[in-house]
Amino acid sequence: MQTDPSVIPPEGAVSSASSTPRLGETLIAAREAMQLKVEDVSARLRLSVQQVRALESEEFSALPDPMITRGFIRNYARLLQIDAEPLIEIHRQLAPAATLRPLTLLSENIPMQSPRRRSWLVYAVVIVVLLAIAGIWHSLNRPLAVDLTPEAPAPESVPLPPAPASELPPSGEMSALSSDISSSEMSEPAAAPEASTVEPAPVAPPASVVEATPVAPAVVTPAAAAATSTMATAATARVEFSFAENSWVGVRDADGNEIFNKSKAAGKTDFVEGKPPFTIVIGNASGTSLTFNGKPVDLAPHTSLNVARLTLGAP
Amino acid sequence: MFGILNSYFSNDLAIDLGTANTLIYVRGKGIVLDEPSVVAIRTEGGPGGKKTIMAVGLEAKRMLGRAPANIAAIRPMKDGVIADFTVTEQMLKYFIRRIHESRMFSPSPNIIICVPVGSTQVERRAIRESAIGAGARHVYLIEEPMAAAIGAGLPVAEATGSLVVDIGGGTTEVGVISLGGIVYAKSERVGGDKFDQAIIDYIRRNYGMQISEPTAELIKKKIGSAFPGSEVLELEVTGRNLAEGLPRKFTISSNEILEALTEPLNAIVGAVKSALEQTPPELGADIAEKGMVLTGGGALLRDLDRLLVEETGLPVIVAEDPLTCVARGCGRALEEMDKLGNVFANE
Repeated sequence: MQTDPSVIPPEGAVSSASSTPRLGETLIAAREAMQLKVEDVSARLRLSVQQVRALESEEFSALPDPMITRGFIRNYARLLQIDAEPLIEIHRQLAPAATLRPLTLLSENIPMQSPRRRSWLVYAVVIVVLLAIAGIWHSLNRPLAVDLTPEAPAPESVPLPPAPASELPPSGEMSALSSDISSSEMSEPAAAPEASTVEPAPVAPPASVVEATPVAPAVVTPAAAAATSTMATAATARVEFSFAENSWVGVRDADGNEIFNKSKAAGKTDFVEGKPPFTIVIGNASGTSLTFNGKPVDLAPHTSLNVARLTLGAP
Repeated sequence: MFGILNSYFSNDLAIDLGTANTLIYVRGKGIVLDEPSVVAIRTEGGPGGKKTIMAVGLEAKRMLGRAPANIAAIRPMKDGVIADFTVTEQMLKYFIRRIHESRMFSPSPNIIICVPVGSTQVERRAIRESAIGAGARHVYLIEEPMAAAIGAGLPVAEATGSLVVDIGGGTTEVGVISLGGIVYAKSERVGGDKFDQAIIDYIRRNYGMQISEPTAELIKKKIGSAFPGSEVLELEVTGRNLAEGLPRKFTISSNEILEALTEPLNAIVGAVKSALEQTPPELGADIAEKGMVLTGGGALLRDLDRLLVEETGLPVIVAEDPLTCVARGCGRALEEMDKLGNVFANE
């Protein structure tokens, strides 16, 4: 209204020209009454001489944020021993747009980041789902193969294994290896072929079958027993914690379920049992010790920034 | 639609869980609760008996130092972190219920809660768990210097350095903030409580008088100062004379309190100086131009800004309404939660 729109004045000049310039005048009058120079004020308030001059001439564009500028005015008024509130009120009127400026935190970064994060998440979920499907397919497929082989092709397949078995016995190491492999592949079918061999007995040469059967089970049984014993220990395992300092512990079992999540005080002990492997996170690793199935575990190699992350009982 | 339902069933909260005071900001309403972090617990039927909460907040604070043997007025927060987990949880539960008292359903709000920068992972988890125990659905942590800077109105998101010094009841937090993140932060376990303790120790040493914490707080607020001023203020207080064992009145001056506060004040100055030493030069230049901003109750100590001006040679300004800066900053973070990504702290 007062200024000609064709002339483009500097930002600060607009606000100072459009209202009563009482703020600067009051400051100058009070300063001169105390016989202080601009340099004295600058030294006392640790403001630059330009900043003091800008305050006195109400050039707020040359000063920092409005909130900071109000702080400067308050300090200046206190130095001059005058009431700051009327001056602050004038400043609020002179720089209203700046006062109301929204404090937007992070402008355009958010749309850039969040889709990327989500796409990572999507990839991760897809991979996990694929792995889960593969795992289910694999686990379903194995028992099927076991069920099918003894029923249909058993009479044809039976004559084949006994032949190498009857040939190989002289080289002892090799036979042990081959039977080991066969037993580890399928420990249960070892009994199944025995049953099936009874039926096709008239077809296959009986001597080779008789020779083969005592050799194979004799070697298989210890390995099978070992396998079953490891299976038994693998079913559940026990982790014991003892806390020398305040700490917290989170444990997830083989299925990814959180089976343990507690904060514990110093001097306490606790344990958890479940299906290994366990994924363990320990908050205050230096003040925590743990044993896995009774055996102490050293946390140092798994610790970073006093947080230990480790997996126990992985096959 | 879900937003409307959500906002009806639970008002999201921002909590400044301070050593001295707890402030709660409700989304869309502003600060609705400002109470001292004190809980009075009554033990029924001798030691080891059943414990019941008698009073929380202002009422409990009045009992501090005045309670009989079966009532304990406890301050569950110490040095900015939880000292008594159960009592803190009960206190939070009480405050949250008080805000939601007219509601039919028990509230399960999202909560933003501030933590000192220097707090350990275990301490942060304790704060998070106590908020969850008090009924929170999700808990977000925000570091105190960040909350204080947002609350003071500093341009935290811009590419300019800001130095904020938040002097609370238990801790002093110094933070250099730029581009929405903390560039450097230091937490010193010095605050209003240490000031009070320093005054108690000084009076016992020099006057042979024992005074209570509330009296020390009163002395600090009335005549405490951080820099020798032109006028000397005096205050008459009552304490127990240690030699006679009887209550006696005596007069203490602001210069003596200044002397008493030297040690905690030096710790604050040291923290600020070390922050300035660690600040990258470009941000240092911004800070030299704008100065540092004081927030928190400690900023109200007379001439503390003057002390920092003289010690650092930088302009120092006290934020508007410094006591509520952190709560307002948490509140602002709550209002703009969807826009803010990286201001929240991790465990």
